Amino acid sequence: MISVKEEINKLIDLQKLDSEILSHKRIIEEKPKEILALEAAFEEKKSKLKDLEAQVKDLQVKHKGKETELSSKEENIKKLQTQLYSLKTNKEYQAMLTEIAGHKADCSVIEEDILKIFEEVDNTNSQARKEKEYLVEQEKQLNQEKAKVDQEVSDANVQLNNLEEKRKTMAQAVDAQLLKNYERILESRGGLAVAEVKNDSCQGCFMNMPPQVINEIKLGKNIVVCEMCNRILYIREE
Amino acid sequence: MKLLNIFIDGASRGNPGPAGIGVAINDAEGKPLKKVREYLGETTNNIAEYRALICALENARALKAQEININTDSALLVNQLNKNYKVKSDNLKILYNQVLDLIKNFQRVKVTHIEREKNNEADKLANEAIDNSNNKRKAPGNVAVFENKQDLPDSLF
Repeated sequence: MISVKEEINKLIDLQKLDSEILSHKRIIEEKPKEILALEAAFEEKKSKLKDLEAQVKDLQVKHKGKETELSSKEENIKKLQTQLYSLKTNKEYQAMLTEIAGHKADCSVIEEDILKIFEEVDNTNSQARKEKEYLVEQEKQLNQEKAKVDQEVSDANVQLNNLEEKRKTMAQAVDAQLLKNYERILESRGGLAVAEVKNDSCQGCFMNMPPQVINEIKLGKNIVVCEMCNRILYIREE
Repeated sequence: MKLLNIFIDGASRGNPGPAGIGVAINDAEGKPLKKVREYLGETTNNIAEYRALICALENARALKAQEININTDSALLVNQLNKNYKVKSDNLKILYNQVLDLIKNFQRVKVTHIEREKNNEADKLANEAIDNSNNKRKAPGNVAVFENKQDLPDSLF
């Protein structure tokens, strides 16, 4: 007849295997989600470039508007200058000169605005160029990361298949009823059905174990279950 | 183990009344190491708070800690340990002296007052200790013992 200690040892080995299986399943589930997050972040970075390009277009439209305004002012100045020769009095002549000076001052301001727009366009183009280079690098990294994850997931699938085969054999060696209970605890307790007692506490839920319980586990005559988390308890033999 | 962060609480329903303690011991990074809940029988809340502190210090000593941060929502405990208030009650004096003795085992012990809302874990453990004292079990403490491997009941799941 198999002793309780031997049965527990089988469960400990089975738990190690199940923990590995769970770890591989998590890779298969979680890694693709990480890639989706990276792709979403990359799309957001792309939108920053789009914003910069839109800014450049807006500045170009603004520039065109200012050029039109400047041309119009210059036309006005030309008109007024030709009218100068037809003026009769000194007073009218001076008044016209003042008006022309005013328009010329306006032209200066518009030219300055146009220069500022040129500078802004240069800066924004420069930022857009840097952003493009950065995105190329980011895309390269993203593709590398995707390839890495694909490999990891593929490896995890292979490992998982091997482990599940191994598990079938191991599980057959465990008492059927005990296995059934173990698997129910495994499912309800996040993949940990067998917990070591360390520093006098259950390593599943960290609840303190009274001394008489520690003795009960060490005796190995009965299966001892943590009443807090329902996990099967054991103490590692040194 | 160099540094431990410990949360403690003592609860007494009725004061005096059924009382329990809760102690949650975490490592320096906040990872749980041990949780203790213990029913004290009928006593006052201040005695329960001191007993929780003593339990924390004893467990920290067993874990070979060198420095401990104790967090408690008991203003009385913090102020008596910082010598802002005098310990007047004879019952508390005994426990107070026990605490001072235990503190000598460590290089540094810091006791901090925290709000009740930040002490949920220890509070929960203390209340569970009182609640569970009403339940009958095969074995004392926090475990159930099964003689046959087939006996693991469905009610566990």
